[in-house]
Amino acid sequence: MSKILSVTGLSKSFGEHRVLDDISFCLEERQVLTIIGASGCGKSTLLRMINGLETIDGGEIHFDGQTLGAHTDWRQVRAQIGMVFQSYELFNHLSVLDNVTLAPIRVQKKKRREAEELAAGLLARVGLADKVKAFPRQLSGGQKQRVAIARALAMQPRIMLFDEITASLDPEMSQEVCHTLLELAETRMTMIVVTHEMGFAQAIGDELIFLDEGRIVERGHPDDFFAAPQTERARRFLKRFEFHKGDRK
Amino acid sequence: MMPPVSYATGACKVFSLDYANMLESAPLFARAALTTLKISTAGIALALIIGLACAFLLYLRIPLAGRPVRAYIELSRNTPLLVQLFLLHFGLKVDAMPCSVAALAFLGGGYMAEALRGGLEAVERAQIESALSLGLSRWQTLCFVILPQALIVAVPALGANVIFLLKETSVVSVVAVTDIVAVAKDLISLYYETTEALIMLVLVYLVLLLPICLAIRHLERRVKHVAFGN
Ligand SMILES: Nc1ncnc2c1ncn2[C@@H]1O[C@H](COP(=O)(O)OP(=O)(O)OP(=O)(O)O)[C@@H](O)[C@H]1O
Ligand SMILES: [Mg+2]
Repeated sequence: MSKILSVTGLSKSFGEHRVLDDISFCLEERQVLTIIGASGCGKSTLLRMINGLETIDGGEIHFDGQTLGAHTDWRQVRAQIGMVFQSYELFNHLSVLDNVTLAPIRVQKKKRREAEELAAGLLARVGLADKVKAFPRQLSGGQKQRVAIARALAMQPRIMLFDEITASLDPEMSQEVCHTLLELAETRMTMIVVTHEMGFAQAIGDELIFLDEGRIVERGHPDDFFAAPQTERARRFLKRFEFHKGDRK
Repeated sequence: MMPPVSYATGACKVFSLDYANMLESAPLFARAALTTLKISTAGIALALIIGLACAFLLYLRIPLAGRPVRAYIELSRNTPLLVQLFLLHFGLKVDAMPCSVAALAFLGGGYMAEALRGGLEAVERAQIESALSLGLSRWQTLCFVILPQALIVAVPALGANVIFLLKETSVVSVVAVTDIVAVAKDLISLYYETTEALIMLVLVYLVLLLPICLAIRHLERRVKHVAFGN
């Protein structure tokens, strides 16, 4: 296996507020890294920095042999790193098919027919073969999110970044999307998955990072982490997802 | 006693209007309507280009562009077209036709800029990030993702501006352009048939504006369908 992404000593501040502090990790090809942590601990900021949507304050990100920074040709990097957002961000004026083919046609200069064939295949893979002609407003949240996944996959990226993509979905739709991601993991897609769903984090990850207040507090195999968290902070974090009869007083 | 009817001139008076004369004046109005349309089309097209440029400059927060652009918008929207025409024609000695087009473009540019800026601001900025994350350039993002959605939002305001600007051309006769108002004025001073000339003027404006108005309504409905469903 070879390293495709490595992050060393990464830090980020918004004004006085240090959002990320000394973050280091590597991502091997075909590996799934899950990142969990409380709201506001810097998970989104970390993903956004990898994709050049936030500037890098300190430390380094290496992607496929190049160091990312102010002088990076971000178009070329972003074309290889797919990202899916919590709020889908589909292009509302375009049909599902056109959403998926836009980047391949405009960025990779693919022929329309070739792009449409690829898109139709991907949409079928995420279970939306019958929605090709629909517009985003006609889709449920879960369907929208699966279009967003197909749209990112259409660029045939080397890595996929998922930022809490089930957070605004109801449980049933969230299930659909989680299964789409699990299938994607089966195909050995390299990916970083930020999630609030602990069961899903455990199921999909080869490795897990627990972030707290911008620092990596714990890392390891998800099974080990959930079976026996090493730090007090991780234990406290996981406690929040447990409910007991006695909680209702 | 019946009023005298002059068969010789073909005048037939109902509501005491001189219909024959009105009919006779129709070709004059038609030719002038073409002038009105020419000025409107050129002026509105230029206004759209100016408006788009201004809206982009504001939306993209281009350094140093904000203040001058805002100043232009306020200047153009807060001075009457009549005054702009006077300044261009009698002050800067611009010929009548180019002067009319330029003044309309100057006035319209400010209104179009505001309409388009409103449309652009209505598109969530997160759409920019999702487009960029796919590898699109900033320019492609603007053209293929942001602008189309902004136009959908802006269509009603843009349409209202088109109609407003077309009506504003009614003052260009002050710099001696033979538009439909000028024809009406000439007819009045020639024949003293004020009511006839003014009714013709109203009719010609209606004929010009109604189809445009209906076309804009149609466009609004189609665009709404894409944006919000049935
Ligand atoms: N553009 C910004 N300007 C100022 N502060 C910001 C900005 N973006 C994020 N922050 C702050 O940085 C911190 C980390 O934000 P981030 O969105 O990365 O958290 P997160 O872990 O993704 O949270 P959540 O689980 O709620 O999505 C938060 O305290 C947030 O308020
Ligand atoms: Mg987040």
